[in-house]
Amino acid sequence: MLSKQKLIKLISNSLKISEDEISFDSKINHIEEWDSLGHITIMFAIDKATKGKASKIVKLNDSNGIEAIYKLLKKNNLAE
Amino acid sequence: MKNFIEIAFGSKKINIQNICNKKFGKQKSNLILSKTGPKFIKICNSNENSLTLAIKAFIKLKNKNKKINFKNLIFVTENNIRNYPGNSFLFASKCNLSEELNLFDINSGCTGFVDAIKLADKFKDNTLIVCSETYSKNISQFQRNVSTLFSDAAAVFFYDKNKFKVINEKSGYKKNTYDFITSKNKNLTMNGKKVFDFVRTVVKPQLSNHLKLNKSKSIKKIFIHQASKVIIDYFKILFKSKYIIPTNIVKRGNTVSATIPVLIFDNIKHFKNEIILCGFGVGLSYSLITLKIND
Repeated sequence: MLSKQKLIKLISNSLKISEDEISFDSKINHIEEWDSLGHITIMFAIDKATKGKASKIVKLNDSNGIEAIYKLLKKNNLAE
Repeated sequence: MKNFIEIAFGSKKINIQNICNKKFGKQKSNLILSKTGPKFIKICNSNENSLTLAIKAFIKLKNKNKKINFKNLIFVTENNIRNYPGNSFLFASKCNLSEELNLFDINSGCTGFVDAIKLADKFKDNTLIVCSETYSKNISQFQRNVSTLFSDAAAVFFYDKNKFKVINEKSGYKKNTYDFITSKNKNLTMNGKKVFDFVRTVVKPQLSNHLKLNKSKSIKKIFIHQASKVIIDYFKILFKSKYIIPTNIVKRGNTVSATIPVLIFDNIKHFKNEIILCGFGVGLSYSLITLKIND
């Protein structure tokens, strides 16, 4: 199960930026590093962290920020 | 062992790392290449095209195996050199092949080789499968997501009915995704994010199902289309514990329908017993088979 903090850490690691540079409210267009390659890396990391279960969430790829990703993961019992 | 397959690449070598370093700086360049894969790609020069590459590969094959005998020819390409006829007719004439041949052209992307194997398996006689792609001719100026990825290459594969047999197959496409990899007026565009999403939500589950339905101790290897390094890494993480997943994306780049035969050529030691071939891409579509190889 991913917590809010673990998700922020996972995303900052994926984008190769400091955790201080993002917050729960951060959206794609707020972060320069969150381009299409960055987004793919995030999805990759989430699938890996959930052992592939997140790949069943069809709308996850269309999420436009951390909160939206977290809500979808929580709805599918993959976040606490 | 390689007497049924040959490959040929475009002769112009492009240093992707240098171009990216200049455009994006070294740090960002390393990040991009860690996702895309190749540091160098090979593309056609002005005298080369999908037909000349295919002929080059075929001559190499004929030189090492003079006994190949086929009654069908399937030419797979998205880069026919004429609107019509398809490349199969030009190839057959230029290679002085029998006028009794059945000629087929498939306009298919990264699933093309697997689609051709499915067809070849249904024919009564042996088939020569040719996959030849020159995406570089559809890229007029540098684009980060495509210029860093695609090499131009051809592969010829002799489908001997005594040697190969398709055990089972599965294919499909996703509606309204045709814009995500497309070329209009010779201008290639690709939405990498959407393609990756297709891989996550369609290809991966279909491949998992295919593996479940084909639980055989002899199936140990999956030859996956070399789309990009990030996608191969993704499959490796999900399936590596049970399967060998050969890769050559860093060395060769993405050669569209030729990637799987080029991968077979580079990993011939793994091409035995029963294997899975998994193509996916333009459409967006996927094509999967279990192939039995008799030594």
